[in-house]
Amino acid sequence: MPVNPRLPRKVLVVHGVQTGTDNDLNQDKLISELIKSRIGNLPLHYECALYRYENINDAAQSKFKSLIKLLVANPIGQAVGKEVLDVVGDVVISLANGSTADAIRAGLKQAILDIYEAGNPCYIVAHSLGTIYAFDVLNQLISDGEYFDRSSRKTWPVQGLLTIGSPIGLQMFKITGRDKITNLGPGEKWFRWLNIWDHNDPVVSGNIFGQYLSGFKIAEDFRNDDPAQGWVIRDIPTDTGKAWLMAHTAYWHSPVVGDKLTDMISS
Amino acid sequence: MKLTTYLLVICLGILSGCTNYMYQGQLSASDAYGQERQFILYWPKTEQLLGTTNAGPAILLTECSTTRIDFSDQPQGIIFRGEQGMDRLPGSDAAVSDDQVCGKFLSYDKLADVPPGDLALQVDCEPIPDDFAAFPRDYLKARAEPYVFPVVEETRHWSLFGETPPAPVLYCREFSGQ
Repeated sequence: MPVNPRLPRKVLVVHGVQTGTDNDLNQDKLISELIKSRIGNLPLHYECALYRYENINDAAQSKFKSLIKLLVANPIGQAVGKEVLDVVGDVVISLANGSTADAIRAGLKQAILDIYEAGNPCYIVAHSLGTIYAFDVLNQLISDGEYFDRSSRKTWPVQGLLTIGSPIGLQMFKITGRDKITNLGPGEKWFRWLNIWDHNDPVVSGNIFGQYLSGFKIAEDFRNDDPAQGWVIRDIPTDTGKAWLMAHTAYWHSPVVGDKLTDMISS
Repeated sequence: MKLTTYLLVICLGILSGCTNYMYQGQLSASDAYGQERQFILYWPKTEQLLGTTNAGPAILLTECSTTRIDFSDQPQGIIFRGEQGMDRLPGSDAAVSDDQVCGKFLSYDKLADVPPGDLALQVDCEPIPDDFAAFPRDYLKARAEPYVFPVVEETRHWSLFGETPPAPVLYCREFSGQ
């Protein structure tokens, strides 16, 4: 079914590294509240959903459980060990092109296609590690050749991508194949990718001490001069007001993120 | 133990303490379609006790529109970069090329340096209509004469690890009471 721009806009949220299980996640509600707080009294019809994959990650990490037990067998380990391993495990899984990462990507692709089949315009908001999965799946959908006729947005399963706190500029992701995007081909429509990041976000810089980033291109590095590329890509460095690690989770409440997302899902 | 805790808090405060600001200005002017509208320009700024000052981007809200264009620090100054397929120069059929300067803060090169007071900015582009849009793209009408926003420092708050200050919201008078 072709996309119907009159149907409610669907915002599919892809979360990042997590501790806990799928039941602990509520980023779709945060995004819904954020949009609501920014549109004033305008009748913009939208719905938010969350693509949850933490249980797939946790299942894959079960083989490490005995190691976790060993590490948490002391007071410090009890305090941080389990959560740190949960997060580190998520990153390792995303880097490896193994069955777990494939299962996460396949689930995300299906979630997008379910929205497409229903005819709603779909927009992806991805945070942190979730931006890697979103990037992979989006490029896969374009490569499939079945969708993304550049002359008609009604054939696009995804209408726009907003990434927040993305580590996609880091070398570890470049060397695992995320060094270019797939061209849309000839046509007059443009796919929008907005990449919003805080100047101090340590996940974006890869520097645990929160190295200050300025005059820096991340998503815009994926641009090329080929007119067939078809992407409008923008880095939007932003000031969330938060310091260090808190900057990485501040996007969910940032009015700048809310405003740029409102702009994207309306266009 | 208590002393150690106090020292730790002081050190963290020195490293992470911030003053958060929100700047905003409002004016009434013609939009891209010749309608009289309210416009709000706002941007956050954070001064860290140790470290650099962050600011931006500046967001322009247009009454009765979901369009939010951003002005950000670029080599050409504080600019609104036009988007292919979405913006064009008045009188032109063709969309701007990517990164075309479609608007600019006059007199300042860095958002962190812009003080409260009158702020002049210029808008050179107009939106391209798109049937797919839920609301027509809209912003200040392109004109040679600059717009002047009376900018005030709306929020100033110090905290240990920083805060995200609230931003202004613009309500559409056409929909008020619905």
